[in-house]
Amino acid sequence: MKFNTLKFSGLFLLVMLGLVIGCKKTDTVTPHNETPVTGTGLVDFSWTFDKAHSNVNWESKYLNYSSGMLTGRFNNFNFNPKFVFNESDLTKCSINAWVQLSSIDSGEPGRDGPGKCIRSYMGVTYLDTLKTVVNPISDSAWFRSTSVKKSGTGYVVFGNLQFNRYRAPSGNPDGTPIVKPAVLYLVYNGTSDFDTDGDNVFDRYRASFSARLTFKRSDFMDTQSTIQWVPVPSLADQTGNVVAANNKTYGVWTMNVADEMSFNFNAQFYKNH
Amino acid sequence: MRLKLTQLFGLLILVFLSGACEKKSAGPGGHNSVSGGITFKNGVSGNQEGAPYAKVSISYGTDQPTTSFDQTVLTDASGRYSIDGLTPGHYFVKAEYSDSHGFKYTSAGTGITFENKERNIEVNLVLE
Repeated sequence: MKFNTLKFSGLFLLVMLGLVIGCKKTDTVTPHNETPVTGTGLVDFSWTFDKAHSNVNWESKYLNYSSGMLTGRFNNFNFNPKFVFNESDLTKCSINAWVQLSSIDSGEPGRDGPGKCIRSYMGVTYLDTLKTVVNPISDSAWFRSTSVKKSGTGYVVFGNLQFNRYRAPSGNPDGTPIVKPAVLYLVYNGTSDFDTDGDNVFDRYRASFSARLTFKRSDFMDTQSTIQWVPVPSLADQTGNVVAANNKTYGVWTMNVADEMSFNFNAQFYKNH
Repeated sequence: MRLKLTQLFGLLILVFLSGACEKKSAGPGGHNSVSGGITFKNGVSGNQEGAPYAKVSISYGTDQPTTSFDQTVLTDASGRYSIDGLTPGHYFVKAEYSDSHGFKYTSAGTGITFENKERNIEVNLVLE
């Protein structure tokens, strides 16, 4: 009887010891690895820029000290050479975008007409207003990419911003382009397949991009320009007078909008298949 | 008869101990904590930087990736976070950060199992 009790007690102690040791487990940390997925977004020279569904908008504070924003768009803009985006090989990306500065538009007639203030936001002479720029080497701002890096869900596009045909703040001769490094923040919104003619056949890919570029106007415009209120030429001068068109009177520097300005791009491209 | 009583008593203790060894359900009400730093790969600077005010979410009851979370905290200005008062059990921690340009950064997350009652585990996450 005594032997049985002893045996039982021993067994009991062993079980208890086992349980206590069993309870002392080690905490664990299990990092889950993200499987890198290379995107397949691709827009090359075979795609067409869909200008009708694209836009370039500008945005700047009204007066330097205000928090209220003034906004509007540019009516004339494009890419030259064509836009190239290759998600799986970012070295192949090429973004060369331009806007015609005098096509600035606020949607407010009191500011948009010839001789009105809005063109001076971009340092544009009123005399350039009605000129048509086919492949703008003048009256334009260009962004040209040099390299593209992925950053989270977006792309950082390093490059240069160039304003053409304005007097440099340094007093350079008229027409000297001003080129400075700039960064474009680009988002690839994805590519979808569409049925363009209602025959239940999806026949057109559409790719969408959004981008934002912020710069200081004073970096690209003549802040010393004080030629106020250039007389608006007669309609004949505006539409055909070569002398008026070649008049190198540049827009006055204005503080009606803040020094800092942003261009927001929404660009759509399509390809039939 | 005395032996039978002892056996009965022993069995009761065994049942009690095995009950004590069972994990309580994961969640608040304990003394464990998870803390660490959240960094993101900044494409502008090319550096790995602290993610200020990033969202750190924790899911109770699993150490496997999930999209359902029970609690979310924000990192401080330098990217540090801490989630306290956790009972032993399984947890899954994930972070998300949006920079000033609206670019989002995430990680696949980390599973944690607290087997003990009073521990701090350091979990640092690098967001891409």
